[in-house]
Amino acid sequence: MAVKLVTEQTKTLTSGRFSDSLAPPSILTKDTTIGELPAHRYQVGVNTVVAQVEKTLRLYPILPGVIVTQHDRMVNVISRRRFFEILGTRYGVAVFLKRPIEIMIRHVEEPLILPGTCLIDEAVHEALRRETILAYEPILVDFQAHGFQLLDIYTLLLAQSQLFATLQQELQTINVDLEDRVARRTEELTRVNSRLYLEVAERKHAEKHLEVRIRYEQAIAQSADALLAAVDQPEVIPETLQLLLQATGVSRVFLSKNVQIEGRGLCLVLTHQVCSPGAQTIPKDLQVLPHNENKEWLDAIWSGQTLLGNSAMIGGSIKQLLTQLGIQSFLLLPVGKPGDWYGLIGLDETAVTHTWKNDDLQLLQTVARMLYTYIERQRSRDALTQAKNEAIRANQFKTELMAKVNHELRTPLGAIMGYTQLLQMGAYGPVAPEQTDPLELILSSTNALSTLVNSLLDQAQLEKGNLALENRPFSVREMAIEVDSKVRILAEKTGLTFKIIIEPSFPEEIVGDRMRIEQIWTNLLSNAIKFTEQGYVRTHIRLQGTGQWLIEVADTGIGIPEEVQASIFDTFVQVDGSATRNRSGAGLGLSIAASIIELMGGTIDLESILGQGTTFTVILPLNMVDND
Amino acid sequence: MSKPFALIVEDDAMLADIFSRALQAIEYETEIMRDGRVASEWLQKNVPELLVLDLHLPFLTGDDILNQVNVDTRFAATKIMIVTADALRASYLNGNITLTLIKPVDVSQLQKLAHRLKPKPTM
Repeated sequence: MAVKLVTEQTKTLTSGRFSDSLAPPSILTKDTTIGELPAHRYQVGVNTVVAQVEKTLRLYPILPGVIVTQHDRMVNVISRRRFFEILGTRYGVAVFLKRPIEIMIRHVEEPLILPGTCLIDEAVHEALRRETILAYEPILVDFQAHGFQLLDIYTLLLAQSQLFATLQQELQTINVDLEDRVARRTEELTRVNSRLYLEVAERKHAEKHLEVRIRYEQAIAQSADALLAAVDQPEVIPETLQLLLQATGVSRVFLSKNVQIEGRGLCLVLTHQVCSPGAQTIPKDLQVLPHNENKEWLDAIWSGQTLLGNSAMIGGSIKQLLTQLGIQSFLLLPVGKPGDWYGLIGLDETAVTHTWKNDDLQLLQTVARMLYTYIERQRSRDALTQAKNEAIRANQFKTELMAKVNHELRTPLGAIMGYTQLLQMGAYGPVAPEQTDPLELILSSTNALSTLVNSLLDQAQLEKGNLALENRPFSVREMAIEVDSKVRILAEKTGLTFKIIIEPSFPEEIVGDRMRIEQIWTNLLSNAIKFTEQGYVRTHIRLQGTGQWLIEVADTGIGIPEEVQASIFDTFVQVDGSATRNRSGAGLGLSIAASIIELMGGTIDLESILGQGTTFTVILPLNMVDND
Repeated sequence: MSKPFALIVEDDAMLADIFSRALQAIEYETEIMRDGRVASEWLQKNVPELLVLDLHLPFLTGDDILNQVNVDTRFAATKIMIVTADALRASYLNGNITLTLIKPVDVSQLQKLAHRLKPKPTM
């Protein structure tokens, strides 16, 4: 039976270097299988003489043992150690050496067979699980179709230890990496921590700042509310100063005002002050500061500057003032605008040195602006109220004057009229024929004047709003007779046809202010006569629809230009200047008539064609006598 | 037959004179009083047929005299004629006023009205 050596083994065998052949590959991982480790394929048939095997094993000390086969099938494995043990027994050489190896097989155990895919770890585990005596026996690696190989247990253990070392190294690397990462992380954490710490501190600071800010904003908002809405509320100023006191936490807040004082010139006069508990108020003798004695610092303020400082750092005329008032820190803020400096807001701190913050300044400047707005508004309101009151007084005076003048005019008018009439009547002896006309002229002029006076009184009363209307039953027909008796003479004197037509179905009695209606009607008629040179003046009275009646006065006079028609019912309007001269009248009649008609709930309207005539229509509500 | 008596209470001398002459011309007997107090005293003893009364008077106003006359039954037949420049005030007056004339007064109108107010001659 020939010895069968496989190529890899040949290579291994011929290399002759034990360490090389036994050493596992330098790169081992936990995934390395036993199939990758160096192994040996020394096989002999069952009939091979023991001496032959003994010779080979002695020649190749790296061979872990021999695989015994029969008909190419593995029968058993005899390890090197077991082989020489058996030979070394008493009579071993004599018994076995010249005989086939088959007989030795009976003296060995079954080998541990593991697949080539088995991991080193597992293989070690399996190998060392064997009985102590067998624990170091080689392992038979089963390569399936590629047959078997013998793996020396030392190779396996070496690989295992090498792998372990590698793993440990790896672990160490991982460890180092981990440590590194932990260190980095720790550092990061520390950084984050300190940043957080900083942030917290910052936030705390910000919160405190915010608190102050909120306090200030509230103060601004509250004073804005008060200052921007207030009208005629003097308490809004001390309230605002109180808010400033609370927001800034100083000892004293005050408002001073520029006032011209006789003999002292322009002075800064304290008008309001509020103090925190325990703080002193500004004494009387320091409440008025003449401008010329404090020019040095006041000039700066009246140039629009905010003045602030600590008494320790300041000199000049203000220093004396600060010392007198025991002021440590101060802030003076102008109220007003260039050309109109109302005064100043002052903040004093008497207890400690106050550091004026931007917030202080912002708050104060805002409030100073709002305060000035309030003062300006109040001023213009006062001016407005004064102007209004003056206007009312003037109008009242005018109305009263008018009433008084009316009254005072009536008495002498009465005398003129009375004596003229007495003269006409012959009460002072017979009237010569040539005296009749002048007497008549005196009388008619006086009548005109009397009518004007009546109109003025009506106007005055209309303006006073106390023209009282009467509501009594009266007969329109009776009124017409009265009017006719007064007006007909005038019309016929100028050669006009005059006619009053009352609708036959018109009620006998209606309710209203007969005197006023008669006055208006007479007025319209005498106007018509005045402005008509030829033709007629006609008047109609009739019912208009239900609940109304109308008086129509139509003439064939000069007419009223269209552009004048709209304003003809306004006070003191006449057709034109020339008409005024020829035809007496103050232009009061129509405006009064219109006002009274309106007061009665009626309307007055006109239609006119220039050169052809005018028709006035008065429509009044019809009030019947209540029969119940 | 005696003439009806008219008391003229008017502080303005000229107007009082005119009223007086106008009334005398239509057969009234007249007396002028230019002061409210004097008129009031006179009225305590006398009853005129016609009382011509101004409202603005010294010492005692026309309103006061009007009140005095209104509560006294002796004046039941007395006609009262208010003569005033103050139309507004006249419109607020209460009492037994026969008529109100607003100054300036038309003499012929005064005469016409006063004539109508004369008491009917008793048979």
